[in-house]
Amino acid sequence: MERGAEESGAREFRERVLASGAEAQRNVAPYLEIPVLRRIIKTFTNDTRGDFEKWACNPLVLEMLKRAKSALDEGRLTEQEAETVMIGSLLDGGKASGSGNSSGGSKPGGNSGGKKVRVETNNLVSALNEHVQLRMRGNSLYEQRRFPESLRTYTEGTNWGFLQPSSNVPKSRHTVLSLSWLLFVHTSRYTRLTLSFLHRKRFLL
Amino acid sequence: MNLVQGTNSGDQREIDKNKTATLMNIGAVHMAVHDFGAAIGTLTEANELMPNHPKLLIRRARAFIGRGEFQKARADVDLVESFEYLDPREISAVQNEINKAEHAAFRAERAIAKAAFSG
Repeated sequence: MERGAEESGAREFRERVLASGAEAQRNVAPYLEIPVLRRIIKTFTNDTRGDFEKWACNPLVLEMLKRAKSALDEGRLTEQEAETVMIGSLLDGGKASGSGNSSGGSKPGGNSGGKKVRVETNNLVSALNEHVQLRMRGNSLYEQRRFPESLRTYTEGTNWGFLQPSSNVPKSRHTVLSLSWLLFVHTSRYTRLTLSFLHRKRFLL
Repeated sequence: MNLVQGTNSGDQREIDKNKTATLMNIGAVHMAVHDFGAAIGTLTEANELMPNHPKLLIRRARAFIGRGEFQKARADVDLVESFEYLDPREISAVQNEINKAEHAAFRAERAIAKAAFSG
């Protein structure tokens, strides 16, 4: 049953990659053979707007993948090691470390559900910058009287465009992160731990 | 933004400030498409996050005008006036808007009543 779901997921992922543009395919191709990185790339398919290419063509994301791959290639980190650490972390109760971590406490400002992400100041800056950019884009659309698009952009800003589980994906599984957060947090515990592990190894930042 | 929490009060304030600004923008979009109920809801949420922001209250007052809730609109404007923060001309302009809209609503209501009873 589980195997069937895995195969179906893999097939779906392959289809999504093949359906993307040539540049996106070229960009992610070198990393797909590495399971750890493939799992990260797989999360790109859960973009709220289904925009896989946005992630696959993002230079910062590609840089992150490149550095992680080079770390794996040079033996500074093995996949087995990564797996072991991740499983160990899971058994350990999933103590996520690094610059951000999630907690299931009360909602900030009494707002919508989902896990909260506590973010250190230095990481908050880039995220806020990204947020301001979204607002500026929204303002520009508003000035052009393109209200629906403007509303969508602002709403994306409110949600901060990340950690929004797509409707057909179980919450505990893959979810796309906004770029700024990709390096630090993830709703998928497995991937989050991968990222936090990589972060601890100082490959990503 | 709903999912992010700062690790200290300064960061949290920055997050709240950004969220308030975004909610105010969303409120403006709702008003632009005359969805005043949604605008009031969004702006009230923003007001809970950052209470008594003068621009926010003025915007909500305008949303109340759109809904014909003139008392609530006046309450927001009076509150802003008490802060002595905004330009009095701006406050006066909104007060005029309220009076004008209320007058227009009254006239429209009277016309409807007249039409209803004239038959």
